Amino acid sequence: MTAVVTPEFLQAYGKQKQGLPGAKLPWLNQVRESALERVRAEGFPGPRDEAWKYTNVRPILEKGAAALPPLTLSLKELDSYLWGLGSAPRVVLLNGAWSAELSQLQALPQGVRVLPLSQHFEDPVVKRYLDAKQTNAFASLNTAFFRDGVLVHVAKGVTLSQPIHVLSVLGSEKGYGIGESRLLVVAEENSHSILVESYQGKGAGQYLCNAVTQYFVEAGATVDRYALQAHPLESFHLSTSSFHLEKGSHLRSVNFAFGAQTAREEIEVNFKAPHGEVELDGLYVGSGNQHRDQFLLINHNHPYCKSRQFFKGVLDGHARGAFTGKVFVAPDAQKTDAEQSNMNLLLSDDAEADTRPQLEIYADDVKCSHGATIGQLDEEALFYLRSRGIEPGEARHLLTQGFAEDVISRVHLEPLATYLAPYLMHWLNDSLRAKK
Amino acid sequence: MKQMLSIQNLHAEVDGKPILKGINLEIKAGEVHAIMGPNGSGKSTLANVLAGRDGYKVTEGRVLYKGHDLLAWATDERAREGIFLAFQYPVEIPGVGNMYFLRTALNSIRKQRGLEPLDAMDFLSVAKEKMQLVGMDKALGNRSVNEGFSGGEKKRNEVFQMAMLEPSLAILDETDSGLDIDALRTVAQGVNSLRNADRSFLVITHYQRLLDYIVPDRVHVLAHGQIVKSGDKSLALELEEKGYLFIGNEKVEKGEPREAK
Repeated sequence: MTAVVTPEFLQAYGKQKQGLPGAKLPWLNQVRESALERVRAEGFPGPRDEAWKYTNVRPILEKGAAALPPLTLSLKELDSYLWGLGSAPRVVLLNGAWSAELSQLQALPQGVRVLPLSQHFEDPVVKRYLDAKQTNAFASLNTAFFRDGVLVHVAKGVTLSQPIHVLSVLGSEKGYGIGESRLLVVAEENSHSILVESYQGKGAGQYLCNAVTQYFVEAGATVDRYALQAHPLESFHLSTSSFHLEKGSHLRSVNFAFGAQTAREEIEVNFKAPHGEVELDGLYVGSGNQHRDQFLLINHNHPYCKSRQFFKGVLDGHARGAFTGKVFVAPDAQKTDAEQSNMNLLLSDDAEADTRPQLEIYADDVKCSHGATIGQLDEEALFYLRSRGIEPGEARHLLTQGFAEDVISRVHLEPLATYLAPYLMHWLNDSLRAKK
Repeated sequence: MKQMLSIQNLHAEVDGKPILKGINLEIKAGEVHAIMGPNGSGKSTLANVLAGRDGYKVTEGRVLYKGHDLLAWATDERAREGIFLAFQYPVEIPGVGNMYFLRTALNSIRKQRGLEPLDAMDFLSVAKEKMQLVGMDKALGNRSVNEGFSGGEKKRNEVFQMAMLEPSLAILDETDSGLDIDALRTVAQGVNSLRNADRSFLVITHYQRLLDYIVPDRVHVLAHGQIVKSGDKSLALELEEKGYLFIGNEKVEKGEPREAK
């Protein structure tokens, strides 16, 4: 994006964002203003920006600078957005705004707070954590203009036995618009949390979902986080997640990217003390003309931390998938243990995968490895299945599901894992069946 | 007895190289035929042509299965019509559960036969019984297809699948290779328990050993893409004793057909 367009875009967008909540709080104004200043100064990412090499945002920005108006969703409509987690505590955001009617928070254990950000800007936890420096212009745009969002605060030593499901539903009845989704999770010392974030749309999906998620994991705490992106096919999804890990904390994240025309999901990990562990797993699925971009950045700034990346892609039709796994190891981050694996399955001759490991290591006593593959369905395995009477379409289906299985098996949440295996095929069915 | 398989002057090539050069073979329902022969004689090619593997091109001749033109059917159609190939090298398929795979296969075949699909419970109770029959460890049922199985476990899994799918014609491609004597015996017992008047077997083997346990009605020697000698089970013993050369050096080398005694 050229710098000329950026100010016009920001001005047009800002106009619609008058009267943001918390406007009387100087600290918040400061946060918003400096975020906006960053976008102004740096502009939106362009093709020369290494981190955005695979995703061109120009077509998205050219859609215009309209903000999404409020959205309604009935309790009955909500049924199809639950991922088998209907009995879990949940929060629903509609075009970024907290919906009290659709949320279900009665069963939260003691010591767990789930609150709308817009009404709790004076909460010390919000004040302390909200302003993490954002890594890209879209995250900054979110910070400058978000109206609402969710705070999940888990107190010291509390264990969640059920997940908290944060559903972000976007939609537009009158043309294209941009919506912010925002989630702030603070897991205090020695707490154990499970979170599910899901991103979906109502209707055809004329929108950009610009999502920001922040996790602060305090010493000795563990977080299991599942992110599910299943927007309608006409939409755009740009998300920025940052995980900040204190001493001896552990975060596991499993990402599923199914929907949207163009989706770029960025995860940044910051180890803020020694002995942190992070496991980033993911599955991205694309068909038709879908574009997938997974961008991971792990900052090993302290010694004795461990990171694992395990991402798989299934690409059909003319879909394109990109994976970047960047690992930075600071000079004094000795005994860093980092592994990365990215495997891609191409189901058609026109699908394309790009995989890019980037290791930047300044310490000398570290263990860092990476591996990547791009392949097709195994002909031998196909023949084996067919020799047992299984039709070609069904055989391809089985093998594709088998390829995804070791990501799905990392979902340690029974109703969700059961839901996901057939759900994956729903996104690939057309082309798999067509090829007999 | 009804005709099961009739191979007539079958020629086939792989990568443009002729491998089968005029095979003639008649198998009746209920019969067990063994095909023996030195390495490179075309035994596995014959198995693969019958199963319909890609890359094997039939250039001449025909194959009738229960009177139908077998070669006109795709691999999976052949299987649904009752042909089963026990692989020499069973394929490992990570992520696909052994039982889930087999139930999918069985239900495809049942559909063809006009039967209702088996649900998971009914399927498992049948599967349990058949696993016992072939001496297969039940824990293997929960694993991915053949993944991390030992050589013997893979072969048992082949015979287990055969027991579940109940084919009319089973082709065993060197099922004895890589098996110790105990495994060989249980696998053979499994095969024998499946023998009946409506089911035929084509047992391909390099060694006579397997035929001590699965006693064939007919034995054929394949060399250079042709059947050069046929006989009863004593032919296998003779081969074991004297080696393939006893058939006659030049016959084996040139692959000229020779009438059975």
